[in-house]
Amino acid sequence: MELFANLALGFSVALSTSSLFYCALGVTLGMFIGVLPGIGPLATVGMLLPLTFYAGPTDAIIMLAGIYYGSMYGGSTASILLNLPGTAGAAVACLDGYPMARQGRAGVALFATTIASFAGGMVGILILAAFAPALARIALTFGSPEYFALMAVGLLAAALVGDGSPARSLAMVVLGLLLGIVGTDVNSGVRRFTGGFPELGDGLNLVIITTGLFGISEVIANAGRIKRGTVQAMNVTWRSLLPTRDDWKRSLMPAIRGTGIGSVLGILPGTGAALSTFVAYAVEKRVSPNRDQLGKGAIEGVVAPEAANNAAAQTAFIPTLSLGIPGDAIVAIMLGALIIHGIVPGPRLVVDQPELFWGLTVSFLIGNIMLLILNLPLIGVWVRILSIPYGLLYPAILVFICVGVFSIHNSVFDVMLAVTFGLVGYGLRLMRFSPAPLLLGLVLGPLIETNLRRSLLLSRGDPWVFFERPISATVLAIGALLIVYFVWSALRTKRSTPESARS
Amino acid sequence: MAKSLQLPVRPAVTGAVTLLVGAAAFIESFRYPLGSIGQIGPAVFPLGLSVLLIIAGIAIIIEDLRAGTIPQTPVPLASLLTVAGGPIAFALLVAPFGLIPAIVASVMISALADRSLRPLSVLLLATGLALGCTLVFITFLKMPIAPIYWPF
Repeated sequence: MELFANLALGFSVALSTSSLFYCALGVTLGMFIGVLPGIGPLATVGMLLPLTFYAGPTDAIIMLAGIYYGSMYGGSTASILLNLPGTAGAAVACLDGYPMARQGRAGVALFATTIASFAGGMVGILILAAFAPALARIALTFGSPEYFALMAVGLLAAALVGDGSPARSLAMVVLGLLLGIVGTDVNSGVRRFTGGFPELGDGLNLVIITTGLFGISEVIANAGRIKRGTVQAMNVTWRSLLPTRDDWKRSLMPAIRGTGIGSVLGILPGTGAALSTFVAYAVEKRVSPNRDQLGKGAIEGVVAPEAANNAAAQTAFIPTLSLGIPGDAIVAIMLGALIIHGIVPGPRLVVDQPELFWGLTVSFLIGNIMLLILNLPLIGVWVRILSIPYGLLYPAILVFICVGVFSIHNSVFDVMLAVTFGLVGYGLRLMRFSPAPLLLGLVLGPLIETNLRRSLLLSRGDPWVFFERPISATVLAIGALLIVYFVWSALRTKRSTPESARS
Repeated sequence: MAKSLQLPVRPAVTGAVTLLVGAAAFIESFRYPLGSIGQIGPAVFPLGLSVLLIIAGIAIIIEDLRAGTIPQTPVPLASLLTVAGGPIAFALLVAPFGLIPAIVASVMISALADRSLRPLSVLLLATGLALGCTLVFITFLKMPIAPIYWPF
């Protein structure tokens, strides 16, 4: 009955006034930025990171996580009503959500996505509560070689498996690792990659990089471009929300399939919530009995992806909290926030800080219930928020970024650095890089280097140490297989291109 | 219609930039001690990473050359300058003049990127943000900066 004792501990933490406050703040903000196109959860989490320095680590992470899964709920609202995804993960919800809205079934689509999100999220939380402590117990026996292998292969998988070109993602991960090196080396005291700036001696601040690369560059790309679309069904009434009996029946299996897909993909490194929506939709296209209606406003097409991304958003915390290895960029920032608060991520976190782990898990439960309330009775408010012009939002976003970055060290240099990263981020967009994997490298870089050094120190310089231990050897073998597979498939497409061109 | 700049992004440019960044990091890494295999120095990890970045650069060049056509994105030069200009103005003004002038200037400049905004709403937005941030960051969070300095 250890689980009940743990859950009781979790409830005592998550139901405290401050935790409830941060949880409510996080999910409301997440919902807000999820609904609004042109500002993503990455930039928001980066912007609010400085605020969390004033809170305790548990409250900080509760709020940041709330923004993350809250944005999953909100993202589909803009997709359904505007045909413009509020977040990257909600692009799939446009495919059937917008046609549903045009058929006058916007209310049903919003209701279905909310219920599917809630169900997916709840299952994800249960899996998190069941598996993370077990995984952490196994991981307690890990030494430096295991950690080095897991992190390196996790990053490799994130680079290769994610959406888009593997070579470009690899470049981003490596660039992130290199940016993580900037600053004073803890072992030797040597200042690396500081370009002579004394301000960089402590390394690049996570807040500066995320707000610059994601916030400022997002604004550069969108300012003056995002026009108000016509909102379908401005007045969503209570009655219009209710699905028919047929809708319920048709939603059940897609919700279960979506939840399953999301739960699995959330745990794996590199396959975040956004990817799980695409996979869930693709699966529905194959197996759904109504697959010929998909894309024309079928309820299956909104239920499965929404269940998937919310399940993935919760299970993504399993490797993060039990191993200290983040599955996607946004969870990586949260891991960075923990490190800033002086908490070393890894299996000891679940054991040594049970109030953090269980408090967070229970806060997910509470946050999801809050989101259910925010979504259904208050849906009219969110529909109205959709009509806030972007022109009034982006100057405010820029001000929040400036003040937030400035507040870290009261440093003008930091603000200029954020602008620089904003321009760099925009340049990366132009070159069709997607900078999210960079954050994984940035957060994990110092940990990988430390574990590499420590392993070689313990083995007195014998690199065999990585292969004689079964777990690290297995993980490295998986990494090698991944590389072989991707090189092989790249070579194969090279040969098959002329043939396909001829046919 | 805002002026936009068409960057001539040729197939090899992205990969070449990646490769150059990798090469620069490689050269820079050699300035640090290499150490020994049992006690690797601060140069080793960045050296390995630079090599990986160079490999990725080559792979991107091959990929883009094989794809042939590269989608061209026009660069909105005006909004690039005004959006970046807002935070730069903030950075330049916050130390000598205080938080409120810095915020107002930042909003005024960055708002220029969206032509559909009326001056009155920009003014209201700037005032609201300046007062709100003063309240949150200076009154509640005790950020050590004055709302307004009078340097004269």
